[in-house]
Amino acid sequence: MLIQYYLALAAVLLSALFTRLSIPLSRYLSKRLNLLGVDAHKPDSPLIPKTGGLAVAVGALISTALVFTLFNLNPTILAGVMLSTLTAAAIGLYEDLREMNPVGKPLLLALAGLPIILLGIYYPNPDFPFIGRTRMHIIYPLLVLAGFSIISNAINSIDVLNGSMVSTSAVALTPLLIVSLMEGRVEALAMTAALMGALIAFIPENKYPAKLFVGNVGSLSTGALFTSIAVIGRIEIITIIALMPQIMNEFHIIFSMGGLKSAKLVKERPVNVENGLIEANESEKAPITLVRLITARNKLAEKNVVICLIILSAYSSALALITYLLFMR
Amino acid sequence: MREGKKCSRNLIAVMVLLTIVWGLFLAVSIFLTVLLFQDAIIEKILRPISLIRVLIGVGAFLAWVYVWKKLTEFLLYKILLR
Repeated sequence: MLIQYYLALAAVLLSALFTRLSIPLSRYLSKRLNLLGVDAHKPDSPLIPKTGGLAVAVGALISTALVFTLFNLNPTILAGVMLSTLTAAAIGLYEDLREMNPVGKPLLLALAGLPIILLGIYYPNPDFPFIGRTRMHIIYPLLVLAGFSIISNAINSIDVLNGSMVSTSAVALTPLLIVSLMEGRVEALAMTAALMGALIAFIPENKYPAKLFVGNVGSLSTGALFTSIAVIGRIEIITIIALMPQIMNEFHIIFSMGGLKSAKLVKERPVNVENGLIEANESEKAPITLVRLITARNKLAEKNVVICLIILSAYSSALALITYLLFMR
Repeated sequence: MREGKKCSRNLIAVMVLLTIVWGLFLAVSIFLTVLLFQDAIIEKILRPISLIRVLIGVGAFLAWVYVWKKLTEFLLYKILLR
């Protein structure tokens, strides 16, 4: 048990170190390639380098690789996770460079799950509350591919305010870390701790007022790592419950837009911004989002909305832990 | 003070929504346990029966997502924006 604590601690510290070291490089690349995003919720709409998430992906992956090597963990799992995350990061980087087809993007993200399937590093026996272990030999690989697409897009969809994706994801990783530790799933524990360390190390750059955006490269690779942790650690249901706010945000956007459509085609924005305060658009034509629910008839500053999102994430994480402790042990 | 109260009102409303959705998820799991998966660990099972179970399971979870959507619309338009 003690070795698991050392493993988790090593993963957190190494990923934080490599993320911090990679931040200047990702900032330089953003500026060099002119990958700048408008911070739309600020009065002067400043331009911010938007591929900072590259540092999160680099930090988490280097740390995972080092910990897997140091603690002699399964190299096939490491290869699968690296390939899946790098595929998602490449898709994100491409989307940061140019807009992607809204239907093609989820299909491409599903491909990020292929290394996990092809290397056979999954267990088609997911645990459900009350039911216990199930057998899903045929459908499980398809669910893994769908999971990569849904979770990556869900995490991407919450990246709308300074610090929102990074902080809510770090909170949502907490139950995954605890359950991996309790179940002795060391590979999942190493990956969870590595991702957590990378996200926490990135918060100072991305919190309000952001100096660096995570970008699609960061949010999609974070989503791919979340899915890999869920599949390899066999903690699929815990992950879904911990990510309920993010998944809710994604599904409501898709439902209210009537399918997978480009955000540029939305006629009514979900929120309005006035003097730095965010308030929900009252039109029924506007997409339903989590930020719109929080700011309905309620003007809030950007950082206060992010605090609300963090509280919601913490609440979902608590529900995930309750589910595990009461109904899945 | 008034703004703070409104913030907590919306936040609590979304937390209640998440709790209901979580409760419904557990209810779907109980439904599947009682009706479909009582012998889920049995190694050999007829493939058509296995397929029907998976289809009913997927259907139950799609119904869960649909109810989630309806509840959110009710919360936003009938309570928070009223």
